[in-house]
Amino acid sequence: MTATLDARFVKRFPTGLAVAAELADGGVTALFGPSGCGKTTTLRCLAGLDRPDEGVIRLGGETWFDASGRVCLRPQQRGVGLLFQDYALFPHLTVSGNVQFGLAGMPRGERRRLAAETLERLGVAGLDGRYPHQLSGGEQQRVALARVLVCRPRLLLLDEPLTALDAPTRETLRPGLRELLGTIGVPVVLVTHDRTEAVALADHVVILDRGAIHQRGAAAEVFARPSNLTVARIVGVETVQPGRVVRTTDGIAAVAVGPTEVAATISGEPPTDVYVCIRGEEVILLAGGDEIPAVSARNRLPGKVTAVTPEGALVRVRVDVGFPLVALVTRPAAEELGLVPGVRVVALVKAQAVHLISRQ
Amino acid sequence: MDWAAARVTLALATGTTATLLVIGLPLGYWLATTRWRGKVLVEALVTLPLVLPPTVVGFYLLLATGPHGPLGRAVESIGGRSLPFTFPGILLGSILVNTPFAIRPFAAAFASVDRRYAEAAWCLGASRIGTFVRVSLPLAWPGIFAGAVLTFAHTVGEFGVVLMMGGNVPGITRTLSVAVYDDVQALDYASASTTAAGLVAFAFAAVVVTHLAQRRGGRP
Repeated sequence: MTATLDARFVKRFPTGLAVAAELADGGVTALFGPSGCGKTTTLRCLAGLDRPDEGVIRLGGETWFDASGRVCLRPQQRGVGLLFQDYALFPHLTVSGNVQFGLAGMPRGERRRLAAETLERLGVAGLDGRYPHQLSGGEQQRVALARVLVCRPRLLLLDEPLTALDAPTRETLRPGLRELLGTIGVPVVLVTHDRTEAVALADHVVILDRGAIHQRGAAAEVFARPSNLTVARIVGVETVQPGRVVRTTDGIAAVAVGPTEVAATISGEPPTDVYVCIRGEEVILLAGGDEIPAVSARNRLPGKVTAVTPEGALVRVRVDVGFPLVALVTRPAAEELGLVPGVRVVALVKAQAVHLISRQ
Repeated sequence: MDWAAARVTLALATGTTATLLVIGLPLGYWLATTRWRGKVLVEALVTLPLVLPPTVVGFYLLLATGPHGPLGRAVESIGGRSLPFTFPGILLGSILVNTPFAIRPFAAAFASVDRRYAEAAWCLGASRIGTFVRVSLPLAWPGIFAGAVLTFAHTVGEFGVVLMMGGNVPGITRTLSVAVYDDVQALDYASASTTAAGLVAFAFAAVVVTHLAQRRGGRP
């Protein structure tokens, strides 16, 4: 059973921005939002590097900060492990010097054993004598993580743990990090602006924008079902279009979006004015032709490709189906279908993949 | 070459540099890290000797440490000898005049160390003093070394405050720079030029070392 973090606080800035954080979770929580939204400030307040103006921070039964009781533990007293965005390894110390830094006071043999063990566990054994500038980005990340974990922190804070790395290294390290966070046994709060990272690493996601929390919940749920337009924009739902619910039957709403009608599954009574949200990954494209085979997807939207933009391994295809719909397909798929502007296609979207947000 | 003067000069420069390291490192660190608004006044005070003529510093110090000055009376009341025209007297004057040459580079060296290293150390449980000794000091070392060399070299060349505070007592307060002045007054140009050339060579070497240290500090 891991201790739970209970943090509710406000930090104000001279610029007028106030960060209001509310976290009450064990497990791995991701703070997700654009840069400047207050994610890093929240981490710094948890670590004791910044002092909130109001609120409380508790871990397990221990109070770390209480504005009313004038309690504010120093970082040294909190036992937090903070992984900085660019890792902040001490440049004048070797790898083993860095990892043993927090173990001062232990006998030397014990320090060495612990450091070696932790480096081994993170897959970076044998680098002991090197200096940080002699390491690759991925090695630096894991050495920094070892430096933090070897002290057995009671709360682990990760500031953009993979952002400083190149894409292939990020892909390689992500699964290992996920596994590590799952077995670590202390609450983890991580900050990220990368959707993949949030989904892959976190149990819960908290969406922050301009210092305020907009939505929280299970990672997959928040990204698939944003609760309002701001969240939809922040999490990067590709298609967000205003629509009108014209009727509902058997838990399926028919929504008029421009001249087109879209089916969406609903729970309860939907409002009339809505935003229709469709993730690009959820759209299947079918090569032209007026013959549409029988298919389970409720939405079969014929249209014309208006733009094709490569995006890493994927291709972003904009299709005019009466409204601009964005599909993300693989490169081979785009080639096979001969997707270029002007080509006629049919877009298939399941009703469950169409998410409605109130427009009131 | 006046070897007695060379010994006095060496003792004065060593004493000044050592004292300013002890006082200047914590003060420089504090100046580099504090967010207190009043620090600009402390900075101005530290810089003041840079723009004042050393004779002015020496003059006030002479007044303060003389038998009627507050410092002089305090020293006498605890049974000490009065400071003017003694080695401790010129050491005190030299420390005051050299404050900016030590503390400004120290503060700049500490300020150039990324704050995150100190924060990382705190989160790893290191105390503030532990962080200073184990992280800030080694990372700021090239700048600190340069400041110490500069202080040493500047003390070797100090003239005004030494003459005001110490007069010209051979073997006690007569330094090399005072010896040059004295030799010229006595029209002993041969002796003056030997000492002067020695001082130029030393100053040049010190400046080269300072630059090398700072260049090394620029590398990772």
